[in-house]
Amino acid sequence: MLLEEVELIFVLSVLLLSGYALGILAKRARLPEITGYIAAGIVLKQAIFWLGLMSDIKFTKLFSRDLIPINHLALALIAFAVCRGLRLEQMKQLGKGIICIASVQAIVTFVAVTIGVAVIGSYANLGGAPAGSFMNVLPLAIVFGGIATATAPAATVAVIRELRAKGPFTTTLLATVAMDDAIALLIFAFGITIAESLLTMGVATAGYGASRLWLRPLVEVVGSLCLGLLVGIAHHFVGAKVVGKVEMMTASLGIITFTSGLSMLLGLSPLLTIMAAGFVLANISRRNQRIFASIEGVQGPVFVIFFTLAGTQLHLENLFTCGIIGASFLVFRLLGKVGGARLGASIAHVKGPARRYLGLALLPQAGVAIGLMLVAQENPYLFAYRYVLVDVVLASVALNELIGPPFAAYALRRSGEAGLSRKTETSKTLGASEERYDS
Amino acid sequence: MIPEGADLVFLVGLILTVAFIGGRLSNRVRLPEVTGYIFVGILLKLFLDLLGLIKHQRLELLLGEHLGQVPQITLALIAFIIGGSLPIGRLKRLGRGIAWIGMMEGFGAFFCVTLLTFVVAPHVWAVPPIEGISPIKSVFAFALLLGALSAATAPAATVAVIRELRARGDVTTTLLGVVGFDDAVALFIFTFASATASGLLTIGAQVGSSLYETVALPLIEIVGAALLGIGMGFVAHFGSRFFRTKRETTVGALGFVLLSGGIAIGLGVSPLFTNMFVGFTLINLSPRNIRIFRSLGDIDAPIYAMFFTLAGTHLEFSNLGMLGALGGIYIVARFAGKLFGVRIGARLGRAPPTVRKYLGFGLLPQAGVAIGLVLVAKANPAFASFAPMLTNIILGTVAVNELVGPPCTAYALRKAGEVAGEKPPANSS
Repeated sequence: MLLEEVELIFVLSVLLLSGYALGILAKRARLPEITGYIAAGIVLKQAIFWLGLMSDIKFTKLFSRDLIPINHLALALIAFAVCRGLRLEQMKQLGKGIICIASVQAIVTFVAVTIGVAVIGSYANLGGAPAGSFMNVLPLAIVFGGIATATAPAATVAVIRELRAKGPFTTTLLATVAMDDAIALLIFAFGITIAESLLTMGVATAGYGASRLWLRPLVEVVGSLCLGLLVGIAHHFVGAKVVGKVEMMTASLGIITFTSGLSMLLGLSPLLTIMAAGFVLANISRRNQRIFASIEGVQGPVFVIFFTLAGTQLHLENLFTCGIIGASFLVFRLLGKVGGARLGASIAHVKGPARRYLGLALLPQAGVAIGLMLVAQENPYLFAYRYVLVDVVLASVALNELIGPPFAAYALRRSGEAGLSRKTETSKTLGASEERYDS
Repeated sequence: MIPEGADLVFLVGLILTVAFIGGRLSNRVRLPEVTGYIFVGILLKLFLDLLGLIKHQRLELLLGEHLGQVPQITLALIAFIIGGSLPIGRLKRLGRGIAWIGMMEGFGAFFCVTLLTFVVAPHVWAVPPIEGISPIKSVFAFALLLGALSAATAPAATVAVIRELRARGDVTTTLLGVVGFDDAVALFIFTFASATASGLLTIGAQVGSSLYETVALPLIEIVGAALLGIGMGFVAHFGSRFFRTKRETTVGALGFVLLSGGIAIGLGVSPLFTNMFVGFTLINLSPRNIRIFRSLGDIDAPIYAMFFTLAGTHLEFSNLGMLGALGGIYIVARFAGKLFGVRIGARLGRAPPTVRKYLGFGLLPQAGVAIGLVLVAKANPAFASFAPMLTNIILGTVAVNELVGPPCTAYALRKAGEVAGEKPPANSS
């Protein structure tokens, strides 16, 4: 056991460098960097076990136990960063139509996947977890529904750049993917709260009335929002006092981490809390964009470690036992995105290409989906389902990253907006989100 | 159900937040941020103990074990930055001074502390007698060890103050070189003193029994670190060709620094020297590599803030009362030894006059290296009788030196007129 005595510092460096190296390779192969990070994690784990470099116990201690805080930190940073663009003022400019399309397609996708997976899941193999009735599978299905709404801005932006597309369809697409992550996180945070309480009820039913069933998630959601509101206001006042970027970074990172920890200790949802804080922050004042900018530097290394670490935690041995549930996830997500975009467009009385093709351009999935999968996997209530979760989401990300961009390109070509732009306007609309977490 | 590690995340957030507050406060009173961080760290520990939010045992575990990696990571970064601030061009002019001063201030502190302790210690503290060993011998052994521990300085606090003040100039460069170099000196002195003291306390052993242990071991540790560091420097230099964007540079640089530190720990050579040589090699292979050091500037502030605040939570003040006379002697003798050592070294090394005058004030901070060495001494059964006293003196004076040292460093840099945006005081030169 060559590496039996290594310390965490060594593990961190290996995660950083291997993730980083394969990330570059992935970029050369025109895949998202994050694919490279995860691949690096998978290779790393296999290498350690095949070469017998480390005992099982040591591996679990270093990779699972000691590095848990990095997971919480990375998710908190993701949740915080997606709020950067959620400015009501800016959304108003985009017009009601776009907002309507973006939210309707997300909700429809959520509903479609939740129901679809719950129905099919009652008959399918769940990777060792007890299958069963519709109600038993519902919590898992809700979590899947939340994850299904997420899209990957980076892949979409890359296609738009490549095709030099410009026009109303392109704008709608960009706005939708920019909002999608935030909506996905929001739906997921609600969803997992409900799923948790459904599962607790399943364990200890009888005795408790239906009122109890809704009380816990209600308390959790309202509590998270209130805490987030307070923290957001406090953060705003702290931010207003700070001049230096370096100082701001320490302060912001401290407040975000503190909030995440406090929220967890209070039994609330850290994702919801931080998003509420970020939303408040983004809308109180434009100057607060400085706060979002200050933590960009740290995000790079944290995300590389986070996703490479995720790769080492994957259980690939069950990859093909969950085929049916995985397939239904993919199909219902596709149907949800396409149908939802249509429904949203007709509600908002938007005609033309947005109605017909937008859904097809929303398929790519990457960082946020995987991040959410990791939260769900770590959740003690969902422990029995952790293999299904990992396998389905990974398969979906892999497949959608491959076929998503060609579909998006097809949609853009059909919309007739390809090649209309000399320069891309993507950076303006999407802000810094592209460099954010899943380029 | 509360997710695993929630309290750790909470604690990290708390530490960063209070660090920010401490930094602000110290700005108000014009003290270096480091002092503020350490100060709020002390308060934080008091409050946490008092309020009992986290159970005492759990808190110790979180601070000691889970966050125990923070110092390693920070020191690796600090050493890397020190190495990177010593391009050969500047060393040609100041290198002689750095070498002489580093040696003289280390030995100066060693001699002063040993001598004074040897003279005074028997009057203020009954050094526990050891059967079959004359008391004078055991007092001398104690004095030798304490003297050896006084040579070390703390690079982290020094680098943090220099960065905060954006100081540049001869004193700054010499200071960086000296704090890097004197850890090597301290290691040598300590190994020598420890072997001698051990010989004094062992019946029938000849003094300086093992040449291998006194000279070869530290030499291997330092030369090994140098070789590893230079090798990793080359690897990092070629690896850095792939760094395209700034973000990639940050990730890659952090990876290489941690990797060098990790390998060094694994091989049992000093991670500090290793990373100094990595930085030194990189900056001297190509001046363009400065971007690697700059890219770390984007992320290191929270790490430092955490490191120093965490250091504050570890400081022991219950020892201070007990320290009394011996601690006082140690602090005063160490300071005097460093000041005189700098003066002599600066003359021998023909350093600029500002260096001779002010550098000594920058050498007070003492932390990790000294604590590390005292733990080594503690592990030696020959010193069992006075090891607790030794530990208490070091832990107690580390608290004092870490709080008082950074303002003194800032004073030295200001007086030397090397602080960005500040005119040199009229009486300088």
